[in-house]
Amino acid sequence: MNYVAPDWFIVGLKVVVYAVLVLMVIYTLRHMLFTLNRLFGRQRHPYLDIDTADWPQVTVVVPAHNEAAVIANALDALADVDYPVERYEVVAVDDRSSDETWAVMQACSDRHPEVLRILRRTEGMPGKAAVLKEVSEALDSDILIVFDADYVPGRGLIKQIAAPFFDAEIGAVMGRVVPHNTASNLLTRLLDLERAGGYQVDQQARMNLRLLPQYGGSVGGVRLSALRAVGGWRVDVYAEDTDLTYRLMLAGFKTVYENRCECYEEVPEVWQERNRQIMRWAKGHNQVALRHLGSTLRTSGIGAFARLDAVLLLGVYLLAPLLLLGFLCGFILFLLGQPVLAGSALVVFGLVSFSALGNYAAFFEIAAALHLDGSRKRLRLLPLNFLNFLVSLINITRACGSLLFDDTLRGKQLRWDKTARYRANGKPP
Amino acid sequence: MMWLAVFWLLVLVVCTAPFVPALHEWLIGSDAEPLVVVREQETNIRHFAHSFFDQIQAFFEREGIDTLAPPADYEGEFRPGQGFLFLSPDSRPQWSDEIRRTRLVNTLLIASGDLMIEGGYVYEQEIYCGGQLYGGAHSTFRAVYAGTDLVLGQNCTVARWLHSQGHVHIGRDCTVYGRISSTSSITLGAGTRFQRLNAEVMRFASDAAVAGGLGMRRPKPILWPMPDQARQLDEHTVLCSGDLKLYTATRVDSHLIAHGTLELGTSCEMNGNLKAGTRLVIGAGCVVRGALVCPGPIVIGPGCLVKGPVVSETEISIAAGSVIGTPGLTTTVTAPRVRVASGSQISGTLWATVEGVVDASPTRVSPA
Amino acid sequence: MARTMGSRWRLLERLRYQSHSGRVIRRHRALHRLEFRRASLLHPLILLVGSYGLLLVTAGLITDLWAWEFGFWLTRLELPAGLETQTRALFGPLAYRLSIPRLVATLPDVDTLRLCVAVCALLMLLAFMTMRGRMLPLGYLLWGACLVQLMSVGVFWFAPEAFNHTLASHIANGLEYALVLVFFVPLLLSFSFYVFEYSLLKKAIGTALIMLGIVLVVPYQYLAHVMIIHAGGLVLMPVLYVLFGLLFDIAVFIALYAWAVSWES
Repeated sequence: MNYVAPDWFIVGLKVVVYAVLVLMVIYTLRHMLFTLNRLFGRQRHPYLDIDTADWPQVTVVVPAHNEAAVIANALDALADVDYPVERYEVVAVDDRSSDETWAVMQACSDRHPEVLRILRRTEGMPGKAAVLKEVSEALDSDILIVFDADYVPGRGLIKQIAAPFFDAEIGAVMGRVVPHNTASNLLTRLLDLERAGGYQVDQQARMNLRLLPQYGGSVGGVRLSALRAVGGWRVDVYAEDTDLTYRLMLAGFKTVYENRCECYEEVPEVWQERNRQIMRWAKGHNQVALRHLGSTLRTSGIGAFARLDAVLLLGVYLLAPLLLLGFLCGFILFLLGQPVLAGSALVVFGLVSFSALGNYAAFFEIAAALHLDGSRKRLRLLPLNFLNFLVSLINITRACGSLLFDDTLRGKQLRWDKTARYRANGKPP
Repeated sequence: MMWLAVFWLLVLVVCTAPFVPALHEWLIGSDAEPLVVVREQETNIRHFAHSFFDQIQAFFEREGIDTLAPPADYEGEFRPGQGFLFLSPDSRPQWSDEIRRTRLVNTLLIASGDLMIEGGYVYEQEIYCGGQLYGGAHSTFRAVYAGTDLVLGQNCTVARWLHSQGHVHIGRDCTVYGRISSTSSITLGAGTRFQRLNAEVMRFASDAAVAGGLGMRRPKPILWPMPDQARQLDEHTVLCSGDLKLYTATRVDSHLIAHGTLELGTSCEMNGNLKAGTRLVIGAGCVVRGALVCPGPIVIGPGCLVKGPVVSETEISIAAGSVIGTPGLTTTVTAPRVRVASGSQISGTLWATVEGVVDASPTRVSPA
Repeated sequence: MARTMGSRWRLLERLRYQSHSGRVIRRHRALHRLEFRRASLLHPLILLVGSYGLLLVTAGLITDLWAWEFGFWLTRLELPAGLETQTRALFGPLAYRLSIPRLVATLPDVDTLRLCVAVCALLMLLAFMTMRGRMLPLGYLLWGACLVQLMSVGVFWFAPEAFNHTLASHIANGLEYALVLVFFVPLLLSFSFYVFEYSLLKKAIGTALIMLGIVLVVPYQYLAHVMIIHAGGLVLMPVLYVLFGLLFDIAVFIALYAWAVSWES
């Protein structure tokens, strides 16, 4: 007996493939627009030139859990910044570390008693969001700046982050993170490409076009009154930074990106760590998407184009499972002897799929970023980014499944994964 | 069999060849180092001046020059391919016929004391002067460092930077690109075009005391009643979705945002930051104890006092007699284009990223 | 007077933007952008018109080259195949003759399918046990390939008649996709390569090398398909389609593109 697949099934598969193709084309066009804007458009750095002013009161919070290897450098650098000492304090919080973190923090506090305050948490909910929530509720500063314990800021960074807050409409500020352990292995080199595309082009273009740059939770600051007005830090989300970006936008505040505000960070050096990181991001981002998609579509506080982009930004971590679904449907069509797509449409599908490389940094976006960075030879690694793409595709899809089945249906409790540190001597270049 | 082996070898070679640059970069890592993140503040306006000063100090040490008992004039090489001319105090450079003809000086000038140089020349290299420097008129300078006061005559041009450890006086119709800084004050003549200025006090087209500003008599302001169209954005901030016009002598004690045009009547008192979405107009005699921010133009009327930064993404006009910042509490004024009228005073940094101009005629407050 | 003003302007520009060593003082990378010059618009226009003009003339030569390569290797490898010519419409009226090796490929029997399942299971187990750490992406790739193969086995087992592809149709489709990709190259480069500050000559050379790279890879890629499917049967076609078909051609494009944009301007 000859097997003939029912028509509705074939049509259904084709609809899925075409829908995914259209979606991928939309995202590719979005990134194309970002790239051309970053290359040729008017670059917005309105607050960069503020170098002298009556600076606001700033508190830098450094949450730390088992960070003995790196935290001394961060705290020493934060104590040595160019900011009026009477308007500045650093609060380092040891969140139940089991290593020497607390002892290292005490030694730092002895060296910088005028600016550094140290706290130790032994109870309550663990995790960065819980630390931030607890600390920010007790502060009377104007601005809260968050640094991870492995970030070593330059002397002028605090002023650069604080400057945009002279604009009463700004709720949060985000700077650029630059990986410092790029030379470690292939993974760190591929993540370096991805970060370059994401910050140098994506974030700056969104800043230029007055869209929604994303607050990333580190190398950035939040206006405390704005934070309180939108309900403070949430401890029931995986991506409290993305969640805050959207809550601020919906309340009428703006987030700005400062491309000149650079700080080194450490990127994962092993694939398993990268998987945990991207799964956490994907889960958190999709959680935010579920919570804020409706209100983002309805909000009248921003223009139609900005709203569309905010919606597309919410959807970036849904693309991986959709792309995988598109591939699967296309493959089933092939196996059933059906034409998948017309020749040129299939080539377009392949190309736009490649545009979603890694963490959605399109190949031309990475090329533009590295041209602007003046560092071109590393671009040759671009085809190897396929490996990053593959690993991200699978793990983001896993994260979506996990969010749906474990967190939503089975009501599993949130669990924080701490990012591993690789620096032995604690010092970036 | 041989053809089969050759075929598969060719398949391997041809299909791998496009990836050779990628594999080479992965294995050799010719561009694997992280991007250099500068930890010090090279955005500091005096960065170039300070680095040049350090180079000069190193040069004095290298050459064994005692600035209290300097040697006679001599020439040498400062950097590979870059000559210098050392000038003892009160000595004046003697140019060759060739330089006199071309009016082009391609030598770094290092004077341990005061220096008076002839006008009408192009100085392609930096000038260091340990004392006062008189730069003459119609000259073009790459960069200048003066140990005390610095005076440039009319129609001079500075290409990269200029710094003085004393007062800076720049004459009429000069063009000063790049960074101009002083540890005390800067005075710019009428018609002078500038980019980035920094000093405790900056005066424009006039050394006279500021006309309005602090000394002006103002009516007692009345607290602003929040209109229906406004809402509280957070505990310190009020947001108004459209245009907003405040009447004469209104007082506001919070940050104020208007998505459209924000216009203050005369003699208003604002105790917070102001932000307008399209245009921000500050009426005559207003006092703003906060920042002014607008993507569109900002117009500051005559006799205003603004204590916070003034930031526009298009242009700023500052009318006569206005005071922005105070010597004890400096601030920043920044926009692509800035027009400053004669008789106003700014303390801190004034940065016109495209071009600023000192306007001799009073700036008019255009209606919103 | 104008000459004097012009030379004074040039001198001032040199003083403002050139360092002592004569190098252009670049703005910090965070603020840097490209100047939109006349060339930013003219170069893409010239190269698009030039490339498509050239392609229209030479596309026939490309398919002739592929046909010659197929003919040459079929003879040398002593394969019992002739070349069949098909005419394929690419974009509307544009049609090209593709020469396809005509060779028999067999449907798999049950033993072959069992063998496939066993090999896939073994490979997946091997990948699961050994390919961790640095080898993880290769492990994922192997798992992906095995899953594709197992899905194909399922179709060949339960509905072999549904799989109506022949070796000739598979090769013809592959060549058509590759030719479409070659046609897409100038369009893709127009916004991703021509916008950078390279000379027109470098951009033209880059375009030519990228297209040439794809054109040279394709016949060997599909001859490898012919050899593998002829020897292993149709059961291997789906995995080759997914992993070593169009996506591989796009990877070749990305690799050559990445090389071209890494050149110094």
